[in-house]
Amino acid sequence: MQRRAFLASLAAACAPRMTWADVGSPAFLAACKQGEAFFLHALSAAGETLIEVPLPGRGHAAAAHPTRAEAVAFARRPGTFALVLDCATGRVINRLTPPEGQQFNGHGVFSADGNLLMTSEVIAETSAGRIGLWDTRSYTRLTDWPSHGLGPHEIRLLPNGTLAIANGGIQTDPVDRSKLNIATMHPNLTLLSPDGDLIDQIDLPDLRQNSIRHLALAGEAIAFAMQWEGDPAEPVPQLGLWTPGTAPILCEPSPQDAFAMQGYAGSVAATADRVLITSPKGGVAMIFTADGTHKATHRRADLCGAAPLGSDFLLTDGLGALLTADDRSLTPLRSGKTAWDNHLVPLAKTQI
Amino acid sequence: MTAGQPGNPRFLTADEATQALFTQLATGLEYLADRRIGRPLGTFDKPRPDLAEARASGRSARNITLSLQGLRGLAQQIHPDGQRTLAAFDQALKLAADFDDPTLANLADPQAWLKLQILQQTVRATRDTALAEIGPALGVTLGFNAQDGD
Repeated sequence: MQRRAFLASLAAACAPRMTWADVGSPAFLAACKQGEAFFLHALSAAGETLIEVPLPGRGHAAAAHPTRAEAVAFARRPGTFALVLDCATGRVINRLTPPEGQQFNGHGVFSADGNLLMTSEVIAETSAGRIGLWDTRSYTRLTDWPSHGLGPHEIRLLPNGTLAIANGGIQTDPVDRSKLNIATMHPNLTLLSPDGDLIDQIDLPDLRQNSIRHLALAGEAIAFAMQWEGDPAEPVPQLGLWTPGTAPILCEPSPQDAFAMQGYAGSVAATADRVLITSPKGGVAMIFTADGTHKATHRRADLCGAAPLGSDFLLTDGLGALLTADDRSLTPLRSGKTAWDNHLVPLAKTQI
Repeated sequence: MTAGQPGNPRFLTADEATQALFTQLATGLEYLADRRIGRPLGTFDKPRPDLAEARASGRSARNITLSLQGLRGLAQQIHPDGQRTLAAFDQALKLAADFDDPTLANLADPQAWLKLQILQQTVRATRDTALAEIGPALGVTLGFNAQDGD
């Protein structure tokens, strides 16, 4: 390590760090585009912007440190960098680069104690999935683990420290992102122990062209949202619920809404007794009960970001609105010229 | 028409309603090219006339023409001055009118296959023209997230 880098990391490790409480206790993070510029916003539970930090390009998702006012913003995949942002000052405090030949794949999570950051990655040439591990004192790379599938996208930590991985199953061209293995793709949902050992894995043998991409924790169950790569004339579910140790449940919408999502789920979120998926392509948010029964379909163009808000949901869209959703309706909280990106990331509950 | 009024979360402003119609136009053309034409077209080596829409009622080719006419009407309604878009539609309609194979059953014939493929390319070009001409004129774009795909 260069002396300068060493001193910088020493300084970073010793400097007092602001906490989320110091910056107004935001409840959510969301990337967005305003005019031609890109930002990461920290939002209050009422949807007000508390902090905005400039980004060098279009963001996708973010991960929030559980206590320190730090967020990692991920570029759209495949990305070769992720930025660690100090949300108190708006400064970029670290720039994470995956090892040579690997790419970030859009999502990451902090461990509950905040000491570790995990990132979903692929080996560019083959799309083989890796989970990168970073020490968050000075954001140094520790190691990486196999994700046990191709093209992992969203990852989530369960309360017991188990890591859930959505291995989308799609091999993409390292440069132009075109999909190379649609005929033979085979997504899975994988659980890793806190040491990186494979604990469990499921797939959907009859729906191998349904790419498992996004995850939410729904009590004991893991809600997984899918994107259909098969014949668009076939109605397939976009949501599944899996309680490890049991068979996964697939959540079918009502027949009249079978094609409303256009085979595409962009985000998934869960409250204590509801699970919601969004489809920006279909302009739809669908709500299911915790046992997988379709409860409601709400329509608005380009809905994508979703997070739990008490017993309701908060949604964002590319037209600039923040809305709450319950079984009955969508209710706008604010609207404007801010085009919100794919994901709305809730901060740890202890900080709200 | 309650776009922009309280109690309508689907369209918070009139512009959002315009955007929805514009998106419908683009999606309609995409569906026409990829599905109504693209599914029976298959590949040169393996055409799939059995996948033609409404084959049993002999309306496959007619549905393509009607769909083009309907989408042309939509384009004209949302942007009456879109001369380049309307000309592109007219070109596609002319090619569709040349079709004398109502159920697309003859796609195994290379001539027929190429004719349909040229129509597909023309429909795609019509979509590109509409995006380039009507979008900027109305100040709307296609969905920020819907187009992103991740």
